[in-house]
Amino acid sequence: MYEYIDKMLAELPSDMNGVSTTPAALHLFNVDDGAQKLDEDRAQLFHHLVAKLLYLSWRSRQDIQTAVAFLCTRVQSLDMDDYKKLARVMKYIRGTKDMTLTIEANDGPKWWVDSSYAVHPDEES
Amino acid sequence: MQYILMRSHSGIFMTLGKGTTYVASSKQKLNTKSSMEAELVAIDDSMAQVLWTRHFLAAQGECVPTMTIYQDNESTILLAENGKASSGKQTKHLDVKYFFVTDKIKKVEVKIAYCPTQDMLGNFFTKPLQGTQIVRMRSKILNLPSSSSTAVHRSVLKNVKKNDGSGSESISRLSGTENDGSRAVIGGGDGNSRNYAVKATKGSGQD
Repeated sequence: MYEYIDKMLAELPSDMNGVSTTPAALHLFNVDDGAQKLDEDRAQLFHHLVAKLLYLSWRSRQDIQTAVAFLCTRVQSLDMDDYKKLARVMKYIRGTKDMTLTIEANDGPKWWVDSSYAVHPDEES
Repeated sequence: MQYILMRSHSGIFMTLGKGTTYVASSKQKLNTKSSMEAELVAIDDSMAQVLWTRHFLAAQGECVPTMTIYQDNESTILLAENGKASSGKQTKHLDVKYFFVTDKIKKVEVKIAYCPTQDMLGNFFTKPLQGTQIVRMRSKILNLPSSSSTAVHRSVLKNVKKNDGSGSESISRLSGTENDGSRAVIGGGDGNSRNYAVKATKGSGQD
């Protein structure tokens, strides 16, 4: 997975440079309808990178799962804010690229289930 | 006609001891009236996976009589345990479908236990956490080695100050921890047999 991450980080545009300690800011789920829409090229890049992150979030980096789940709900109508949120995840990955998942089985299965109420302000016609 | 849908978000986390074996973080498919209801929907979202895992482990000869689900909302626990019987004014309308869990609790296949919010690992998958909270939960979710916080800081510094050097060293240090029996490091770079073993469990966990 290290190679995958390094390759992904190497092909990022320069506006995703830098590092971050968390994958998303507190306003992750907020959507501003007036935000500027993404142009075709960036929308395609967004799609490409989110697909890569989705794979990563299932395999070895479950800590970006929340941010990726949100970005996946946005690919239909992208705006500049979404692009910045994606950049934040990339910065986080860059800052923590040595982390991996380690599974240890020494106990019975346990589940934690939680929800956050009314956080997705999306529209439907 | 446009409607604003304020839908909730479910977070599900499973472990077999340390490290995650199944996680889900997804937008809920329906609108709910209260957070208690949203929690019930989240439990319902997890039920298919919970029961499947129970059957899967039984087929592997690892019988788990009762699956434990941790919840941080006490009224949801009561509602799930008592089903329609504890429905009052606010929860009268809930579909019988969401009391599937009640049936499974009666058959002792599943039990719901209380867990305080600060230890609620599902929280990690429902909201963007910050600061010490994310560090604490992340080390449980990824089962990071206890010295990982220094490794993180080092990799951050490495990126800011110089391009290469300590990077490969810390990678090999992390990969080097995979040698005591039941541990399996995913994404350790070298495509050895341990990676395949993990792939088998991971793959089946998702389907």
